[in-house]
Amino acid sequence: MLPRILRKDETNLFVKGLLKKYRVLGPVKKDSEFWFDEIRFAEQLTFQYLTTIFPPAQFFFLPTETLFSYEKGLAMQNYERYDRKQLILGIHPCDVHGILVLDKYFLGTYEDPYYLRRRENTIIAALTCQEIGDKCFCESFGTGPDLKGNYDLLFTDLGDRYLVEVGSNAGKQIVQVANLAQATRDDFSEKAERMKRAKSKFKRKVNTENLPEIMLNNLMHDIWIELDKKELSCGNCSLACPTCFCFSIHDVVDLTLKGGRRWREWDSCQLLEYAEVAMGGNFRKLRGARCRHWMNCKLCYVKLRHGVFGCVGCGRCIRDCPVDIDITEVARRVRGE
Amino acid sequence: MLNPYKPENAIITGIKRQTYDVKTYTLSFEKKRKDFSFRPGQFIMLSLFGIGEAPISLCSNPSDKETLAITVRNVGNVTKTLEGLSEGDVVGVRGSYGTSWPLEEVRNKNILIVAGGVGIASLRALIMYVANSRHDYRDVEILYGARKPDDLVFTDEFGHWASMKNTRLLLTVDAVPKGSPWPHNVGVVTTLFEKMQATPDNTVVLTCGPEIMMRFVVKGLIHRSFMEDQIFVSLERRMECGIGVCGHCQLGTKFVCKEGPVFRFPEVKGLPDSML
Repeated sequence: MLPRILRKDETNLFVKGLLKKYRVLGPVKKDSEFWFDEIRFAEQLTFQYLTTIFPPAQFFFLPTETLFSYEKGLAMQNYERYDRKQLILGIHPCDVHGILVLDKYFLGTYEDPYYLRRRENTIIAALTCQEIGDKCFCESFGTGPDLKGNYDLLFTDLGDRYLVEVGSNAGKQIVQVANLAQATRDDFSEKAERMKRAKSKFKRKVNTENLPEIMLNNLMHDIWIELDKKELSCGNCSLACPTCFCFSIHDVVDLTLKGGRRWREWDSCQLLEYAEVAMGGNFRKLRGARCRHWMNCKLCYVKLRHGVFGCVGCGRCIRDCPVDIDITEVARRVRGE
Repeated sequence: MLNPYKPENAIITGIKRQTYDVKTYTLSFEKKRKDFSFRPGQFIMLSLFGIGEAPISLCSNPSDKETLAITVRNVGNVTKTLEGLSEGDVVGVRGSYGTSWPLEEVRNKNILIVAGGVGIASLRALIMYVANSRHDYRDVEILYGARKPDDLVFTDEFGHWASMKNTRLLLTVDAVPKGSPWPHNVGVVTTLFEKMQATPDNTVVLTCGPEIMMRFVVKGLIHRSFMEDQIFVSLERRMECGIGVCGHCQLGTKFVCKEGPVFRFPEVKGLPDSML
């Protein structure tokens, strides 16, 4: 379908239309930062934002989630109902790619029913980036500032209007209902121009050529010893990462002691207990080993397993690291630059 | 939609004490499961409501469609609680999961088994599998070691194993407490290499035990001219989901619960956070 144009002065009306039909999630201001939240009224939403505090992974892979409950020794199926479709509006290309990485794990040999259901019920209305944060390096991984495919709708700010590209039938339906005007060739050229300008703004870069092989050949690099002394094992990076998929599973018993539930919670390989086994064995006892695992997961392992990097260049881990560990610097050092 | 996290109930139909801290539990599904089968080397997630789950190797004869068995050392939250259960109690089971011993590859070959402690559990399933059609395999040699004589499991089956056609069983312990009768070898399991008959010729090696033991097993065998790709190892890692999602069992690019626990040695050689 040909792209459409949404005039900025009609944006609120457009969002109001979406709110009638969907649970709309989008970037809203939170103190001096931004985060994804459920939008109640159109004015809450802002498209002028740099990377949000948390990635939108939380809407597919919840921070905590019940896997099933049990009563009198019998496990019960208990799916929440997700009849209402949700729509993520204004999600940046790096975060869309983050979801694509999560898909590789949660929709693998065994489909995670909770993740799958939310994923199927979510419409992705993405937004290309033009303001590039000083921590951003998505361009190095091909995950931004533009987005090719993997969206239902893709917005690009063209000053007084948005170019709206359509990537699916669900997206098509939305622009038809909203009765958006068709875009012209000039709108397209303007997008290309703006994307070119955005690309020139990146200060941070990672050379990804042969990066997985280089990481794998440098498991004994000095940097891992340095990071063993430096890193705090706090797990902030995992909390902020749009591709971190790990979770731990816990049981909780009701007060009656007759039932309870089994639930999962986001976990991080940076925490000491992550690789611990019985009798005090721990395959990653050293902080440096845990840091190496995390970095390699992003820069090597996911790529070798699934063909896409586990890093999407959002820069959140750099922003949130209390001791200034910088994944782009790690990649450079290991490469020998 | 199938919920892969939800276990099926199984009744403990038999408990047999193996050592002071190891028991074998025979389990039978409450609702008959036609879809359940396993290959030696695979594991289940054993589930106790209110406590949690642990990955446990299956040790029973895979041709037994009615029951399955696990041999468990009580060392963690789940296994210590299991230790207190009785016949008739109910546990949860998910699986079977993971890779198996290379059942096709060992046909018409000699099999060298090197096991340490309770690590022999999944190899016991393999020994039973081989015994089901013994003529499909050539010589079987079992090298089995433990820390002390009273740490050996399946001791009452040793006679049967040793009496199988073209099968040898060599036992060893690291140390013998004063006064314990012990007519076998003393020393770590690799000291049995001097006494074994197996040669690299037409042999597949299957090893399971502590990772440090397997490291020296591989080293010793390479020294004896075995090739790396003749050797299969079974690894232990923390597992919470068992289905390749939760991440805990990651070993470099591998998920031990999915691409393992049984690996051909070169697949895991030199990976980070491992002794192999």
